[in-house]
Amino acid sequence: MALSGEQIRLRAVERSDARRAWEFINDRDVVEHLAIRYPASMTSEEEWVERASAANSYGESQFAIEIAESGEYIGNCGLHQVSFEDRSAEVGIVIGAKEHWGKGYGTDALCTLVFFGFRDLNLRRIALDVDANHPGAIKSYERVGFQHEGRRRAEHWLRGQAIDFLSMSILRADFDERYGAYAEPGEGVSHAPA
Amino acid sequence: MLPPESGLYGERVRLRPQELEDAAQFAEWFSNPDLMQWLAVPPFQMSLAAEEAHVRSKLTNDWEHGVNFAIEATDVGDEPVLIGNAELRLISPVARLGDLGIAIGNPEYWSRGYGEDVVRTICRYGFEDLDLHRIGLTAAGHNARATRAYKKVGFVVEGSMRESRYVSGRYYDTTVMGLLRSEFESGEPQQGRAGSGGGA
Repeated sequence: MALSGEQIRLRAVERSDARRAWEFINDRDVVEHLAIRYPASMTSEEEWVERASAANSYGESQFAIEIAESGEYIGNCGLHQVSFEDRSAEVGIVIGAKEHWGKGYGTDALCTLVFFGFRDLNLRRIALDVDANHPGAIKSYERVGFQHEGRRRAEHWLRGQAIDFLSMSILRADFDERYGAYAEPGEGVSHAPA
Repeated sequence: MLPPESGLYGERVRLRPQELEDAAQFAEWFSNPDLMQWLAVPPFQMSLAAEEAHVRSKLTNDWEHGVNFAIEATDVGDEPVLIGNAELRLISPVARLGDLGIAIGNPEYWSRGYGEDVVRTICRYGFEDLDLHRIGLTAAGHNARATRAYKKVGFVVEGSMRESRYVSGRYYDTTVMGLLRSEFESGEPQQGRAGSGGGA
């Protein structure tokens, strides 16, 4: 089983994802906006996959993103640092397969993840940080409904210079307004936007 | 002794964290058949060591372990007097459910309104601080004193689990009760709200 978006599915992270994930994480084009700097050994990536494959609870849930039509694994996303008391979560998302950039898969995956967070986990707030010099990602997050809430000046040192990051979030109320009434029980299998 | 400005105050009670030093008092109470009949636990005689081990499991308060309080009466003298304990177990972060258990351990303090005060104070804490949607509890079906107190706070009887507890030779029903946040907020007198949360 998986959570279905329009073109993608979110499924559990499996050990068999480790090799491709290892390629993604060592691709500097992929991670340059994520403040990931170090080369990752296969062993360390296997450890991450092992941990992510077990992250299927309220506090942290990790997913592999795959293209619905082909089943190709193209990236990862998840909710982490979920506060049980505040009902707030942080998003992480990466499309590691460069050849699939610009096709809307990231937006689709994030939308599906946000649906999961609000509808299934009953969260109140979902937040993320994004490189201020990464307009494609910012546009994608805005499209899902994330709103700007601040600029973290010179937060990271990347590409030889200090880089601002932007804080963005989507609240349950924003989500309800944007995506409307919830599906009736039995109808709610799709996590794609209405 | 926790300083008087700390803790969670009701009208006549203070709720504070349980401490290992409470174990001796708890051991005495929770060996008393008059109390244990209402909790549907046989009156095992609790050693200090056993009670300390039990209290030790209640010293971590968070979502996973639940929230454990020692109950003190604040209106019976200069110093607060330990009269019982209570636990708010946190069941589901998704549905926002809590489950309340309370015992006034010292029978001298029964039927004097302390339980109602404690329940109201913990419910306010659960709804306001932990964003709960519902707090449930179960009570001995024949414990009219307890169910009366819960009803005063706004709890509704939702059902009865027939002959689900065995006490001293016979079976009794268990009453299932619940309180929704919307009911608590709408049904609460203005004054009770204003009078709490401050000093004493």
